[in-house]
Amino acid sequence: VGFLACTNNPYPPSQADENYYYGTFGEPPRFLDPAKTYASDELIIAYQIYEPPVQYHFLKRPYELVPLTATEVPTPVYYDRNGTRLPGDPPSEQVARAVYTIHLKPGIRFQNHPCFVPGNDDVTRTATRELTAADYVWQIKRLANPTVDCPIFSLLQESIEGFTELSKAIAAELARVREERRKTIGSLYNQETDERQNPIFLDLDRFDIAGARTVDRYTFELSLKKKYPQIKHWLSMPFFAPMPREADRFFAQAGMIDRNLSLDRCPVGTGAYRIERFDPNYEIVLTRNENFRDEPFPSEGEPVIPDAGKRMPFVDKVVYKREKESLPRWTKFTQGYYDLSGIDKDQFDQTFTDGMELTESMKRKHVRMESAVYPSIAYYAFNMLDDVVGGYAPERKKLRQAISIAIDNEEFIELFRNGRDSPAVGPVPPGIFGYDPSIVNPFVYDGRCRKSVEEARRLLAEAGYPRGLVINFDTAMSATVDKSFLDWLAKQFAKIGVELRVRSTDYNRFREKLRKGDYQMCAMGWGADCPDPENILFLLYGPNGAAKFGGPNHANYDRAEYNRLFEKMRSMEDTPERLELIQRMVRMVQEDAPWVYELHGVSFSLFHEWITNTKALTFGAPEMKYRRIDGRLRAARRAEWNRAVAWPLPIMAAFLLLACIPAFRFVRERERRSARL
Amino acid sequence: MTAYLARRILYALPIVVGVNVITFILFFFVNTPDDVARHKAGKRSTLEQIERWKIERGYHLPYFYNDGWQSVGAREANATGWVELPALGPGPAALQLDLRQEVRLTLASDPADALKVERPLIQGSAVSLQQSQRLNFTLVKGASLRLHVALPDGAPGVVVRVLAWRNLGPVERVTQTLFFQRSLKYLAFDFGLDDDRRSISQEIWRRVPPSLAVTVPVSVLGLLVEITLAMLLAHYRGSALDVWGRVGCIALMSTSILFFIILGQWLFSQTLRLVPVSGFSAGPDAVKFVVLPVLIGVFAGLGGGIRWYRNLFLEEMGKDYIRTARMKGLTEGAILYRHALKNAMIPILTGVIVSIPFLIIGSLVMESFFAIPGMGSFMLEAIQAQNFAVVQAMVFLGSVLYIVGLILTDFSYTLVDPRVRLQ
Repeated sequence: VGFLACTNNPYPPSQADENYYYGTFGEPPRFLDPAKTYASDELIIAYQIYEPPVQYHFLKRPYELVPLTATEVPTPVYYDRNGTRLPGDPPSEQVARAVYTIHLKPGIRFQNHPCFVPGNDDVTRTATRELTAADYVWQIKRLANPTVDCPIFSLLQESIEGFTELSKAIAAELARVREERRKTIGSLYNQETDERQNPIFLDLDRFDIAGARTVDRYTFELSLKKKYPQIKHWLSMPFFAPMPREADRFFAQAGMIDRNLSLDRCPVGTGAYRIERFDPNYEIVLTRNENFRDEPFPSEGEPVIPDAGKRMPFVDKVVYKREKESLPRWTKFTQGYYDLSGIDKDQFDQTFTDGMELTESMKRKHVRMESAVYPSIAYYAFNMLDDVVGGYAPERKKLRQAISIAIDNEEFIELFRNGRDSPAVGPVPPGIFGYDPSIVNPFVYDGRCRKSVEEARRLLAEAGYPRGLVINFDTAMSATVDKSFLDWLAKQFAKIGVELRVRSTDYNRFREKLRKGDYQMCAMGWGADCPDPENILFLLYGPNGAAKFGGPNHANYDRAEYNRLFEKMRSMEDTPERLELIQRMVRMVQEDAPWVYELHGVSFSLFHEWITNTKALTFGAPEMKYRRIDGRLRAARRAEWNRAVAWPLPIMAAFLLLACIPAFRFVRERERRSARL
Repeated sequence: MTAYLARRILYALPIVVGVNVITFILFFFVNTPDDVARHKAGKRSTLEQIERWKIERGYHLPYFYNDGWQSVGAREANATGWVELPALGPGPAALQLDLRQEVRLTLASDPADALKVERPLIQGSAVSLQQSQRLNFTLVKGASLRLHVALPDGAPGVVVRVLAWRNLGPVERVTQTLFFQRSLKYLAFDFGLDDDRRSISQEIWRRVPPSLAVTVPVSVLGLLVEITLAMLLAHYRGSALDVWGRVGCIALMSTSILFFIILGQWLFSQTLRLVPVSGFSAGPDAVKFVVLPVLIGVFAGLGGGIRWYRNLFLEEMGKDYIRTARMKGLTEGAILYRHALKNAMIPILTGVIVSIPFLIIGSLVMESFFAIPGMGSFMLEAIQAQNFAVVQAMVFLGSVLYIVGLILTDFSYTLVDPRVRLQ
């Protein structure tokens, strides 16, 4: 019966030439609450729903912040300890307070949501209201709420005025309410069960925070206790998207969480799309926000697009389907049922010729490829506290430099990544201020060529190991699943006479070793949150050392000069002076070699001809509002590519029947045969 | 019958509790609550956030016995200076200090007269500590606390965990524990929330129907086809049909289901374009999505099924009543379908009925390749994400389903064999 449908189209016929976008997701998003959403697979959805005050320009590179709900990108006003305004761009030591005043565009309305219907507990009845500055202040207060688990809590605690105090006040109020309930319920008190039946709603308007203040209906102030220019990038992330107090009130009703109704599944924002269906194990459907304002497609930047000036969004519905396996996802892309696709290792040969051109079958389908370097760095970290590979003495540097030469990243990229990624020469990835393509690593390369193995051996001998040594490599990779990579890595070390001992362990034990500094070498990676070098170079800042201070500097690199330069650089605007500081820091870590700089990830995406405006935004952005789909062209192509071939079905059935004939004859013969004695 | 059922349910209780205890011990033997919290809290998490994550979900409670001391927060002091500690109510409290070298500490409270300290802490004045230890003190009234830590330059940070003591009654010493708080509600089939604050019961209800849409047809069709073909082979045992049939069975058993999935998708979805490669839909539209996984599921299971049932029938065919039937002149078909099949029902039912409750658990590989939003990967994903609540709920559900399956099997015996009586 199923086969008689005679179509491989997974969508209902009613969607045939609709203006819908079809994409996929692998890992289900855990959170859509803007205070918690941080992982890339969550941000893809969250950016379409929420609107922080600013965003990155869709077409301009290097990345430029432009207003989103704000009337302009806020600039800080600095004050000293006495409250005196400091002119210009003062040094960070003088700054005791930095105030950002954010003016909102009037008339922006929230998406239709049940929280705006007074006294409502029914998700089908919805309403809207105008966005005000108080919604942004409410959200900033939410970030301090200990029950919300904001992943950048510590960062905000260090920068926003009064954040710690607010968090303590909320925690004290929560503790008071819980203690009362515990006393009432007695020995069977169970916090989770109690708060599912009787959620605690905290009216955040009763709590003050010095760092966030509503000035008027459309203006609010964010004040920091230090100079922190990177805050403008955080202001483009959903953490700083507005949240109506009604939403918190709505979801704090009894029974909501038991029906899985929370901001993680039914978010509310002012973005171009609202959630229509959220089933993270199956599909996520976003639909056009009926209340979205008149926002034109950008007219500046490259390339110039015919949609410039037209009202966004262009797509009516955004459908993300969960595909756990790459093969069916890829097949459906080639059949035209997904508008875009990444390229897995298994499909690389079907996509590209040896000359890295699209294959004929791809060209016949008018598929186009776009690549983008992701602002990330993969590296091997040496533990600088280790007695063998660590330390800053010249011979220790030579040991690390020798290993840096021996690990042939270009070969790794060719063998394991289909030649896709970009070899790294320093910590700063492309797309981030401070990256300069003309910079090489003179300790690993001669010009553009990797130094010879002989040179590495010479350095190793000068380091005091003419006959090689044994180095431990700690990893959470599996010794069986990742055997080919680990064997390759051991081979790189063997080239210079170093024996690599791979110590595979489970993820928790691996993290524990990093925390305790109980390792010699490991492989790590970091994706930048924003195009600011502070977001990468802090991984080598001494006071962020993992072993001593529990920070993200897993190499435990700690050089006074680097630390000094970092402290100066992090609070500067993007000036030539800042660039010079960054280049000095890069040079220093190239020489000290606490990392073997491995690669910067490059993503390759394939797009069908019917989807346009697909310029890659490597930092999160509300990208769906820019995209355009030609639904009619897609329907025509799908019909052309997917004509059912039904004629083999009767043949198969006949074949099965024919196969039964010998069995049938055999049975009849046996039945008719006379008994043998 | 009722007494039998009641007795079986009572027997089941200690098994279910035992399974729960073993799951609990195994999980926390591999992952401590700290590990779980670090895994969840993300790349920018601090000790303070990790501790708070635990407290919000009850992971700060002792495993099985609560002596009254429990964590109210943790802080990390990485440089010389004051560290704000969580506010505390009146009563005994303690600082659990994790040091890696000598530091000087000063504890202060606001209001200042709230603090009553014991040795080696002396109120307001610094004390030198050389090794990790616990320092007890008492608050005579609620206060906020600050700790001044003097660290030598470049010295590693100090981890401070703040503990508060609460006078617990004998019942609370058991009920205010991680095991009790997590497990008791299971007896009412309330699975609570997972570590990401999602209702586990809701998630199960949402995932079960798609799983059943595949597993039920696979199970029913598979049973019919397997029994029919097994009887055919048993009937002609030793013939060429039987020999080649067995060879075919072994070939099917030796082939991975992945091969059938990839072949099926290539043939029916990519080449003939008759059904979608993957996906799911509720309602009648589901047919076009499940037809291929069902076909593949039935086909991939044929080898093992046919061989198993063939052996059952062969065993029956050698019995006296079959010889008697033959002597009476019954046709082979009548002997097989009317007599042998009925008598082989007990072992068939044992296998089939015990597996019925497991139909809701779904199939991991099939659901992954066909993008069916079922239960197949629920447990695996939870283990990978260290989501203890889901692991515990699924193991509990699995053990209950197994027990239900066994009880149902016992009941089914009475239906097919009049000699069996449950007492």
